[in-house]
Amino acid sequence: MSITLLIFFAVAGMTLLGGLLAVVLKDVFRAALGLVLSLLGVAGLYLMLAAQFLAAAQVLVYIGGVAVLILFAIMLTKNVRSPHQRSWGSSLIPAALLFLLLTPALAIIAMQIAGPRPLGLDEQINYIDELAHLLMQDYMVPFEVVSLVLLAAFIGAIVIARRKPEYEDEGGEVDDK
Amino acid sequence: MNLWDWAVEKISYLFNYTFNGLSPAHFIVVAVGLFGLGLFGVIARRNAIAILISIELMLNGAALSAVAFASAWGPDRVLGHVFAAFVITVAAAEAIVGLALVLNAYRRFGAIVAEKVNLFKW
Repeated sequence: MSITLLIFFAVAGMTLLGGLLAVVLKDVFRAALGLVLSLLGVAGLYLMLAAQFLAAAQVLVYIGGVAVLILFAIMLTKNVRSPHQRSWGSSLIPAALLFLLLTPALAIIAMQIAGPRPLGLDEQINYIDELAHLLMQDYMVPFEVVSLVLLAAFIGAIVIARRKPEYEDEGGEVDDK
Repeated sequence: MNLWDWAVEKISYLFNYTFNGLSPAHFIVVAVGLFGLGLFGVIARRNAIAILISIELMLNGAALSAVAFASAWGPDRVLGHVFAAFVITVAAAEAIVGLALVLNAYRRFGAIVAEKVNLFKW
């Protein structure tokens, strides 16, 4: 077994273990930490696929941004546990069945589509250069549109999460806090 | 020959087409595993933030599979990177809006259990 394969199994195991922890742990804070582990593993897999930019973006955007945002949201919404509160919904068994049936089927189908071909990675090519040319020339319009999407999401999030001003609460409505 | 042997024979040879010992099938297995775990979490969890975490897992699996497929199929192997970059951006936007909604629902209902948020049900 080559050293590359050993490293791959370590990183892939970290990714899947993190994902499993993120899904099954009862404490949401620990689940978010499992998500961080999984995201770090995905960044490592990107590196193995010679996607250096994606690995950096994954660490910056996901671990530095999204994961921290999720941790903040968890700490802002102090979860008051009532005694009869369950962390699993009634759909636990159907979800587990779906997972056990769908995942192998999906993996088999996807591998058959990918077919018997090796990874076409070339150590001579600088993939970051290629990616920059594609993003700035062929995919210029989607690139700009996605920045607009991001701006709209920012503004929308501020509007949604903002507390209502006091004068709106005086109108005899049920309290909104 | 039973079904198991047939399946193993049908699949195991895919792992032999390798580059430095790695084949696209390796990465696809991890990507599908992440997607399946996320799907399980979305359906089974009740906490809204846990559901958002599961959605992040699903998006990661999708982006990873895009990169793996693009590096298996030529000629332009970087197209998958472009796709994954867009997926990462949209996932960030989704996380922002989703967490804002969770905060608002928490203020209104005092809980972040998804089943309690029933404004649109009648």
